Amino acid sequence: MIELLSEHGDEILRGLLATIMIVSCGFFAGALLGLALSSLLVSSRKALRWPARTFVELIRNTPFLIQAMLLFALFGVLRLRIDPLLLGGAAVAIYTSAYMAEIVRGALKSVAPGQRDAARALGLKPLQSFRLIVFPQLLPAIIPASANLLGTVAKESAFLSAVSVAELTFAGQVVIAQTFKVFEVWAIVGILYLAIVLSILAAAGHFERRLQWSARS
Amino acid sequence: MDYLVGVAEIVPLLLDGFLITVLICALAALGALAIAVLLLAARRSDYWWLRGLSIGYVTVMRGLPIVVFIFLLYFGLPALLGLGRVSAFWVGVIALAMNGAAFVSEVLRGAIARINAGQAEAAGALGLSRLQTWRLILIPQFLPIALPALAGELGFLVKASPALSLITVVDLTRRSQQVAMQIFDPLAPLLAAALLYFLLLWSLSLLSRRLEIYLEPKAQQR
Repeated sequence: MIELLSEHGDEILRGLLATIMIVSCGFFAGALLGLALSSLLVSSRKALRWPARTFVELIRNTPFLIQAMLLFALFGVLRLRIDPLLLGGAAVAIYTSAYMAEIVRGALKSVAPGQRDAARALGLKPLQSFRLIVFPQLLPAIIPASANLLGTVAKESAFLSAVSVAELTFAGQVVIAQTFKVFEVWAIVGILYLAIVLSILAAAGHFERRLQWSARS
Repeated sequence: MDYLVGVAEIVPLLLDGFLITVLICALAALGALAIAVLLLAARRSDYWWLRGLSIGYVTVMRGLPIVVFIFLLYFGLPALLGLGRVSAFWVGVIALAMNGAAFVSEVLRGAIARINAGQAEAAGALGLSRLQTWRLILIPQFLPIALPALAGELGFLVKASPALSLITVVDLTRRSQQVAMQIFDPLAPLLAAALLYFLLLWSLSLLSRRLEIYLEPKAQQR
């Protein structure tokens, strides 16, 4: 085990960093996209609501691996050359955006519509009223749910190894091809994922308790 | 538009893969339910080490990607134990069941926590046997809370099941890859597979929502 880590540790570390980069950048982009998408989901105009609803349902009702394969095949067919890490991040962003849009939409229901009218009456522009009045109230509902989503996304990102994105699981496969230490490598990779995901979930639980408490007081 | 017709024509080629995916998920769901009941029993045990084992199991499963867990079981464990070839299908089903069990047990635990513990005692005081108490008092209240969430967990199972395609099981995902090789089109078979996954998951989420609406009023009559 020690020998394995001293000889191939940097390869696994590179994979770990790639996973962290893909997940954090993809999740951040996806969260912003999801926020925008949620405003379409609650729009009063059917022409805006309908495409957004279709997109969200399509993403939420298909496996992440299929989405990633489709994205990579599409870029292959169009003969667009793009760094697989970047495309992997895009797959994560697309996946995140649909789930995030639903989280935000659920939270939006908890803010009384009268507040928006009141903000309007006070002369705030729509974007201002969202930023200053509505959004801060969404946070207690959004933050724990998005932290849970981040944990799920970190786990799903392992599927990207199947479309040859050089992330942590892929690094594990590469090291196994060189060393044939099958069990040891998957155990190390598994422990690294556990460390990432469990710390994210612990943060989610922490936020959940804290924000509940502050909402009650 | 012609391309979409082409995609629809591929669907029949994928049906055997689709059936394998359905079979995998059905078997894994049954296995998950069985393991979850054991986990729950261990969680409520009087022995601290059984409780610890149950909590530890759930924690590890919640933190481990299904892909890595399936690789660990299919490639890692036989290498460690010096076993020969193991069945990819069964190892995959077991991995999916073991993973799903952690989430199912949490659902069941949450549902049980919502039923007033005094009711079981009251039923006992009225002279009902333990079996009668479960059948007549507890399960009728428990199902409306648990069933919609369990249908949701079944959806997660379906979404995790393409992990089996990575260990050579010819499920819907792998079948679509095979067809892609045959017809030299990487895109259309994937779109057809996505369509089939969507139909399966969409009907599951409809079922979940329907169950919620159908069962909720009864749950509130308590």
